[in-house]
Amino acid sequence: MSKLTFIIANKSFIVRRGLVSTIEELPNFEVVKEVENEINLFKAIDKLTPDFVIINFEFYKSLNIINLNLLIEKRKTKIIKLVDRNTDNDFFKETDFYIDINESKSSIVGQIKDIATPFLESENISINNSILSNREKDVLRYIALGFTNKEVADKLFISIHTVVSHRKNITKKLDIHTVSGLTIYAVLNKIIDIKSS
Amino acid sequence: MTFTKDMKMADLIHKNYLLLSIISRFGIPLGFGDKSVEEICNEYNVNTYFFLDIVNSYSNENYITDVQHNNFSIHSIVRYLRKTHKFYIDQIVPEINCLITNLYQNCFQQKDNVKLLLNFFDEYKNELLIHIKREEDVVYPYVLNIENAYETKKISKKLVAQMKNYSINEYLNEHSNIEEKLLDLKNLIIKYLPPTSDYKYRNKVLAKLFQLENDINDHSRIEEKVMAPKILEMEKFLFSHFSIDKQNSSDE
Repeated sequence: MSKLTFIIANKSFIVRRGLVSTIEELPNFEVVKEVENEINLFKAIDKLTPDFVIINFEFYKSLNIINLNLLIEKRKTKIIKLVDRNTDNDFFKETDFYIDINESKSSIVGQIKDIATPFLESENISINNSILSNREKDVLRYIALGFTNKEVADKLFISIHTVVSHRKNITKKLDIHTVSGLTIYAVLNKIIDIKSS
Repeated sequence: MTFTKDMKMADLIHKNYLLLSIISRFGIPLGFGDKSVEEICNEYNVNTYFFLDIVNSYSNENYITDVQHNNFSIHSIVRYLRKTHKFYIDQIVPEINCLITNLYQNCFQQKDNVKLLLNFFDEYKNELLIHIKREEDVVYPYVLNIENAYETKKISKKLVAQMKNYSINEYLNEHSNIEEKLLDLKNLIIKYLPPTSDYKYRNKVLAKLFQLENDINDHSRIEEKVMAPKILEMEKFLFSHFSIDKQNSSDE
């Protein structure tokens, strides 16, 4: 099986090492380069064609986005942004992948897996792809009952970023995009009882 | 394949029978004999190139309009778009409603669940109606006014004010994605509603949903790729011709 490759872009040595050791514990995931400035990042993407670049949000904002997009578009490299609770909420509208850095280790590993696994030998995975994890079912239950992202986060003791990322995965797995569609799915699959809703 | 003005009108239908509903929207009835597209269009006072653009983009989503011939008016585009709205409201939406109701009545095990789908479709219908109303009440009058100003080289104060606050660009940005619910409904019926004792109506509902989706996508394509670019050009002309200052539009 082929490996998924990562570049870690971060100014902080400690953060880079933390990410490298977390990622390398996962089978089939490999960090091919650590970089700390724009020039080296662009060079590394150009040379190594990684599947993912993990980059903290502040660093990302300082980059020449047009050049970056040109680089990654051809190479199908995906950007994963590191965020924390202080990150501006607006930014979630424009980004696809992100990891909340304040979460526990298991949650961070889960987030990285959720993002990256679909890109691993996709034809094999699609068979199991539509099965929701227990956590996703929890999130789906509350969404179907009409709770907001914030409320779901509070109820499940997770951050709002994690809820958003669960929702994206649910929608992707089920191919259902609206809340009312998800509600009907939840009823059909007895995730919620129609009388309780 | 691309349809051309010299083809027989009857062959269009043989190639893609879904064009039937499009042809009726132009007020062209069946019984063409061996007449060509151009002959029939002339007979019914339809701009041939506009007609060809519509049927071609309907049959092939990558079709690009022939710029040499796309001098038809905004007026004719809007008239066609209004007719498609009418087709949704008067025909296909009631048909789907009726088919889901039939499915409901012919089911034994999944009755409660089919009822949910019926409610879901109801929600969708309301959203569609709101979307249509907004286009008919706001967008179409606006584009017609722009065309009028462009042609007469006269502009009203009201339109100037409107142009400062609103551009067809914003319309493109906000062009709401009403297709999502339709997609969900299809998936619920195909994938997630457990087997029902009735399959006839279930299949028919699906076939109609696909047709509606196809038609709505085409409708949006015409708005976004045919109508909006023309309006954009006209807006640009009007801004410079009447030296309208765009700056003070930014207060939100």
